[in-house]
Amino acid sequence: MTTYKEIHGINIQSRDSDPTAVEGDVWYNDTKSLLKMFAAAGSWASGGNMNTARGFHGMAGQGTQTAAFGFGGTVSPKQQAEQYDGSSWTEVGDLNTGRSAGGGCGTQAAALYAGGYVAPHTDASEEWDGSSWTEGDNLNNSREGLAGAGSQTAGLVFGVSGHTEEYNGSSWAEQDNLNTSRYGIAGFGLQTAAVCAGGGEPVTGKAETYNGSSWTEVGDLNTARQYLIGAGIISAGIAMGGASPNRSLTETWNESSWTEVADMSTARFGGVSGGTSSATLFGGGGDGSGTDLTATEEFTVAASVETISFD
Amino acid sequence: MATDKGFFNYWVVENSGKGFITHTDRRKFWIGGYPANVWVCDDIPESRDWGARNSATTKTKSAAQTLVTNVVNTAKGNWDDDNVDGESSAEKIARLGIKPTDITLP
Repeated sequence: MTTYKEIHGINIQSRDSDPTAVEGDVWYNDTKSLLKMFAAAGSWASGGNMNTARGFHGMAGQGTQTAAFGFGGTVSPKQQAEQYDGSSWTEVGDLNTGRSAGGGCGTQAAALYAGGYVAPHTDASEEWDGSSWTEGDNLNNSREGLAGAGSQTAGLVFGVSGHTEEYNGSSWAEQDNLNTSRYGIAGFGLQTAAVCAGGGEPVTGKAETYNGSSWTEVGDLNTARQYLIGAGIISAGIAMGGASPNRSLTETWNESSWTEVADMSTARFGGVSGGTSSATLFGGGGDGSGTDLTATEEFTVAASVETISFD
Repeated sequence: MATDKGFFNYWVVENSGKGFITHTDRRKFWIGGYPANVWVCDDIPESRDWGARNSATTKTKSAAQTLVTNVVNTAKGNWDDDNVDGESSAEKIARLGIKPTDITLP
């Protein structure tokens, strides 16, 4: 077995007290008789509650943990839209048409919401300019259960019979289909560099990346699931929650594989996200009891001194 | 993920939002949220402090399970009874969310 010295060139230092450390440092605290390290780890904590409980929102995927935007959702498709500032949600202008499970993208200042469930589904899209929603061009394929990536003027929606469509700010153009047809998927990234993960039916852990012209199968999620949500970019993403059963699981993506990290406190599916693989959130969603949640959880990666124990 | 300690506290308290569960809490103990505002924590002093801080009501495991089961059973019946002619499975899920399923507390 390779030793610490063979990797780092020195033995683990014995110190009277914890040093000022940088990520990856390992030392032995001689006073406390503890082996310690300075490690970065992610954890979930409570955020501010949404004003309206709902699941299957649309979301502005290019938002951040402190500037997220969710719109629409179940039950009885909702029109409400809410924005998060890192501590509380504020209601903003309603969608023209209440809907759930559409594909969203963009930011708090310029978002796009396309398709979704409107008894039974719609091809309509709406554009948000920071103060109100106006009708955009209609999708080529009416559907619900899709996901989005990119921006309002360089948007991408995908899912349901594999359909993929790009938006240029004024019209939708159909692109190559996903390799695996599915709905209830996580999507994130840019119009020319997007990730699609999970979905159903049947429930799958398959993931694919999009390069602006075609989809390529990449490494599967560790846990197959549907109705999960995602955030981040093609080289550093995150997938959260899902069903069935309800999942509290979180997996990060590094452009080649998925890694399980900290679980949420509440298992849930179909909520609002935004941000990066090291700072994101999960707002609302369903808890599997027929109840939609207002609760938000925030995921943050931070470095801290950890004690290394040996079981 | 749940720890392997096997000893848990069962609480009922509404999630009050920011600060309800902190990153420090999550680093110290496992906590899971369930329907009916039921929360399950590792039974350690830090989690008992969390319960006190949030004015949570302690429950036995069976009482907590009953709360969860009652909510889920009611929701399952409501979901089964709420149908629209010609609606597909995917459309029903997009309208109502997924069908509630039984939940067993750890």
